[in-house]
Amino acid sequence: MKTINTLMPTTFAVVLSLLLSGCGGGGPNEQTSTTSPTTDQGNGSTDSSSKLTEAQALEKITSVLVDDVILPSYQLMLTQSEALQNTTSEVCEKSGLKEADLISLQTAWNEANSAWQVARTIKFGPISDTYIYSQIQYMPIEATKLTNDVESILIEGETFADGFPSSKHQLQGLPAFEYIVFNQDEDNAFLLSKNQGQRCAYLNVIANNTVTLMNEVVTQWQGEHGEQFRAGTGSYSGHKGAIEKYLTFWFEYLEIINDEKLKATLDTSLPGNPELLESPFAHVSVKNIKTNITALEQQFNGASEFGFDDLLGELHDREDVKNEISFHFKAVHSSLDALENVTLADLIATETGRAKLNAVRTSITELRALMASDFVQVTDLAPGFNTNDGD
Amino acid sequence: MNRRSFIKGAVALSASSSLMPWLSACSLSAKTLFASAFTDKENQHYVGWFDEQGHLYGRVEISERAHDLAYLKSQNRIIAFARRPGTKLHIIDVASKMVVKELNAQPQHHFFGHGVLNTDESLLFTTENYFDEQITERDGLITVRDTKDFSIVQQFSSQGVGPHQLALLSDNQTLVIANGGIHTHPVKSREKLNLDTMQPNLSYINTLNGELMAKHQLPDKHLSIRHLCVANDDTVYFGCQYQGAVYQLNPLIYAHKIGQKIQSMKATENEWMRFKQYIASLSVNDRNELAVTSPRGGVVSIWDRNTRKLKSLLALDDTAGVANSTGRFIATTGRGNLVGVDKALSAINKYQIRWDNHLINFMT
Repeated sequence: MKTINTLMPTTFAVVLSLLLSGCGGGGPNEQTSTTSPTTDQGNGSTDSSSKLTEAQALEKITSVLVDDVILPSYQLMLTQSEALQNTTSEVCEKSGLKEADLISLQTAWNEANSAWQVARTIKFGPISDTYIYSQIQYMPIEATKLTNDVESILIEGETFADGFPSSKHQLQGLPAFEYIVFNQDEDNAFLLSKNQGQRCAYLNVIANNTVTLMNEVVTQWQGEHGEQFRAGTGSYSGHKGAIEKYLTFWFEYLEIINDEKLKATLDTSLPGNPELLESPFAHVSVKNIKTNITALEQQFNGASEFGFDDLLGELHDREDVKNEISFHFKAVHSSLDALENVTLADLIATETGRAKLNAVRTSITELRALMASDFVQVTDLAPGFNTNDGD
Repeated sequence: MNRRSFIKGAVALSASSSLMPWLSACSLSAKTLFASAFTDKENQHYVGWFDEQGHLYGRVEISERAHDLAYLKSQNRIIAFARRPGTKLHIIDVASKMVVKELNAQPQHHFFGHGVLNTDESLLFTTENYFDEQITERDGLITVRDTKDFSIVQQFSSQGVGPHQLALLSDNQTLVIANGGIHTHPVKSREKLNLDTMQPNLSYINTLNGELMAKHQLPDKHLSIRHLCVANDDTVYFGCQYQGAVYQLNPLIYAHKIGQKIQSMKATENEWMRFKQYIASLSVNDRNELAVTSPRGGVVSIWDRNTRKLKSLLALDDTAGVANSTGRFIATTGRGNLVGVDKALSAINKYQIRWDNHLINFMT
């Protein structure tokens, strides 16, 4: 087993020293010669000059995605999971827990959750193959159902010595942890609860589980899976296929924000549906969305390396499309800033708040539409057509 | 002649005078073009057809995205069924490469993307939805059209909510319908409105009178039965799309013969996991094999019909359409690939387009 590097980058990698000048990639023909569905057309070699061919650019992007986007995101989540594990272990070893201890747990959860909001936007490969993403965060789920499910396993005699007593994913990850340390219910609030020791044991199992799962993800991306993505081999049909797989879930996450995080909670009218808030106990649902959008934008830009923005500007000479996408990201950020520090629970409960949330939805829809049209047409990189069809 | 007697007469005529070998919804045809809907980079929608070597013979632009197709041999025409909640039927003349007719669904109706012809091609059966402003949940419809002019001659219940793919058994009289169980409404886009209460089923209906002959449900009501094909021995193979928690692993592909119990196909949990809870298209060949695609899983699978065991599971990103060809299956992808599927994948051709969900084969 590979050793996991736990020294996590706090930012993405340093700027690529060699900026790439534009070159004529040439539009794809309508019909190309017979190609293998599992091999790449590009020769993968790098010219000694600063110009890249389209094949070289796509190869570059796959490397950047692995080294500067995917692995740092997952590694950060692993680091924060380990921090959550350590904090939970330390706090739960004490007796007579105080408010400061609870705040330590809440802070550790918040940091792990923030890292997760970045990592979750990349839902393919090892994190998806065995539904690890669902174990770490099962969603959507109604707050009441989550509450009932968690409380139902906190029965007398359950020590969690054998791990989780249920295969339900909602009991195994961050939402369950959130409920335990943030809920204010009189009987079940962490510091007041009569079965605090049992709740601590449960928190330890969740934190350990999250570390184990993320370890598996990082290990695979550091090893064979990362190499396959980088080379466009294995389950990836070339560099283009690998990038398109990645983009499929980039697009999907925009839809998840709009549909699951916003539309479902807005419901059709007042008072909305607070049961479906993503973080109903910690009240960080808006912050989650802001983190998601920032992550998706950083991914688009290849962190500070050669990203899709460079592909548009440098390779395809389409600064106009690049700038338009940047403008649309700014519009999404502006609409999110307009929410100020109001919680999503409060926003969905007033007409003013709902209008602001609908403005966010509109800005995300417009960003997605621009990506699905201009970006796809210029780059010929598209999300899966049938993958998210739903029929 | 009333509508019921029209159908009865047409069925009787076709049953007695059929000269061509009966072709199931998914069985081998001797020769051999293939057709599928597709969308180009500019998001324009088409129907295209090609040969076994992947050479494109023709393509026709259509006004609305289509899902599945049917081939009307007697008229050398392709019928393209609008994707949910579309309202168009496009009738395409293969020789002239033109849309010769564009039909609208009745007011407050839409198509579900699938249809099937009877043996003598006199009747077309489509799955449809009637919707009202109150967003009432109700069973879907089977609409029967006379293929001479595509006028509606009959309409009856599909016996379940959200009917999707359908096929005729070899008696040319019994219709088998995958009722997905999911309530949708055009004003709600493609939102699923009844996931907590959905009741999918596989229904057999007598087309002579629209009466239910048999209805079968799976134990887990979140297994939405969506696609199917029928082998020459009338075994119905159907594929599901799971609407429950992703970690609840179930078999997604089943075999059924009317009058018998449903039997699941056999794979390990790890193998089922690779389908990502989503089945797209199914097709059988004359070598007792079943091919099934999963675009979400990025896999195409081959199953032994005799043992019901998985024979091979091959990675093919964004694959959906699959049809039988000479000695192998052909699969399509949303990346534009045409791929031969046997023990391994073999590239046939690639176009800069996005092949849609289903692929049919036909003889010109």
